[in-house]
Amino acid sequence: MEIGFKALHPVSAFLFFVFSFLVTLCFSHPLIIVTSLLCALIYDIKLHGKKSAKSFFLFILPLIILITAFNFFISHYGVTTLYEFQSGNRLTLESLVYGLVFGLKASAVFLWLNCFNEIITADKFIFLFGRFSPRTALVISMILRFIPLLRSQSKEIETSRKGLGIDSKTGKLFERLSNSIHSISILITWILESAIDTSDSMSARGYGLKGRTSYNKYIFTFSDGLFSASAILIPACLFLFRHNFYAVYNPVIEITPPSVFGFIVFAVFLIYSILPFVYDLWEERLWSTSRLKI
Amino acid sequence: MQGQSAKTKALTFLTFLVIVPLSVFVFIKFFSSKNYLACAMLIIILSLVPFFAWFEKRKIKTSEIVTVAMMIAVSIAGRAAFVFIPQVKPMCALVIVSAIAFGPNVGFITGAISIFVSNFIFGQGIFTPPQMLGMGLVGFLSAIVFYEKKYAANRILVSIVGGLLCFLVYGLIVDSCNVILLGNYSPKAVLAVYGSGLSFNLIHAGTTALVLFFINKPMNDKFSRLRIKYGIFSSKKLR
Repeated sequence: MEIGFKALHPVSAFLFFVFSFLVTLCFSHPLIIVTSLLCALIYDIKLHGKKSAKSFFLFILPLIILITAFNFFISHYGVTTLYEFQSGNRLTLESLVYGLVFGLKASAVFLWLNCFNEIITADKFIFLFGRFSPRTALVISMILRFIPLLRSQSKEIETSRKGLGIDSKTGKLFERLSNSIHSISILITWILESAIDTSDSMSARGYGLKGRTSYNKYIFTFSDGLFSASAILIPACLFLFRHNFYAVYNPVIEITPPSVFGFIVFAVFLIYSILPFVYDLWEERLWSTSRLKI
Repeated sequence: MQGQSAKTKALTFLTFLVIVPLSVFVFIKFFSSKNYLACAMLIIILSLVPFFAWFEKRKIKTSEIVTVAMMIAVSIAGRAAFVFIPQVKPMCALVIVSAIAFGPNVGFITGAISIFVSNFIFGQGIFTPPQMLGMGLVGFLSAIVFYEKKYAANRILVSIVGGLLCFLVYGLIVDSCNVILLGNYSPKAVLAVYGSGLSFNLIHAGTTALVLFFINKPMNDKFSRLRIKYGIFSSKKLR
């Protein structure tokens, strides 16, 4: 059974992720970027466990270092010189800091995308976009069904050709190659024919007629509504009071320290970003305690 | 785009003449001008909209939809078969072959959805929208060159044009997004990024051209058989 953030209505989960991406991409203030990165990392570890830690050290950390170094050594804007080469090129503090912030930003987006992949599965995506573009959603769901079909059919072809002694594992190298090409050719012919069969069957069942509705298993509950509302309102607050989180790195580093009010907005943003993690923990606890009662 | 309704035409114009400039203006006006990444992603996603709107609104046979879905499934299986060598993807070649058979707009849809669905298997990333746009455009342009043309049967020509499109269009779009991701726009940095992507793109384009050379004729035969037997995709005969 799915609990927590995964069991939430796709609309609210999707809204949450869209605004996390937007906030992370649009703000350059270190406070916001670091918060977003840390919350994404915590939730990613919650979802993926060891795999997440591995990908953090193998992929995210090198990415940050790469972007920082790339900026540091190639761009020379800024006023604070750290080191001057004999050719006159300078290494500046500004380009270092800007590169670091940009690297953190990019890796925060990558981490949120990791979580997105886990939560918004293909079927949820089809549900979300099926209303706007039913035909595209239909094509995508058909593809997802056809891929395993292709695999099983190619196995069937291989087995029957093995009986004839012309499968891809008998004969010399050239024979094997030509046999496997034949198998693929048979597979594609079969696919195209069966596509026509499928479409005949669909029209016989009335696909494309007016007034047909589609079934979905998601119900929009009160907590989903609450979640969606906060997913829109909190980023809207951030955008409204964005002058509290103003940061420029070129030519001079200029980071506004947030006012007291800015800190309140920031605290709300922090709660918002950590929400999926907390919600998952809360639901898990609820689930385990209710099981104990039984 | 051929066979467009007035509504989708209006939507296309609205997207490119009003919404895209407006969103660029909003980004420059309200956020610091360094937000190229968010802005570029928005424009790329918006530029996908007209094609999908066309696909939704066009009168299209059920058999055509199912065949397109099947071809996309084949191209994804092709990508999955060579997942251990990332540069070698027969996907691009299969998209080009289907685009030549199905026409420019369906070709765009084939390319874009191929990338989109295969990224559900290999992981969605920040590169999904630019890859969709790039692969879609490869399909679109190759169909513009070869759709319902006599020289579509010339496999040397098809493989050369296909390889070039794969290198120039797909490679350029995806590498440009690398530039934006690294966030440094001095000429030296930009050249360094394009240079590092060069070998990858060359191998990708080369394998695409090679695969196209071998599958062009058999696939064409299969499609024209389908066309003659069931009358889908085109009223005209290729040969």
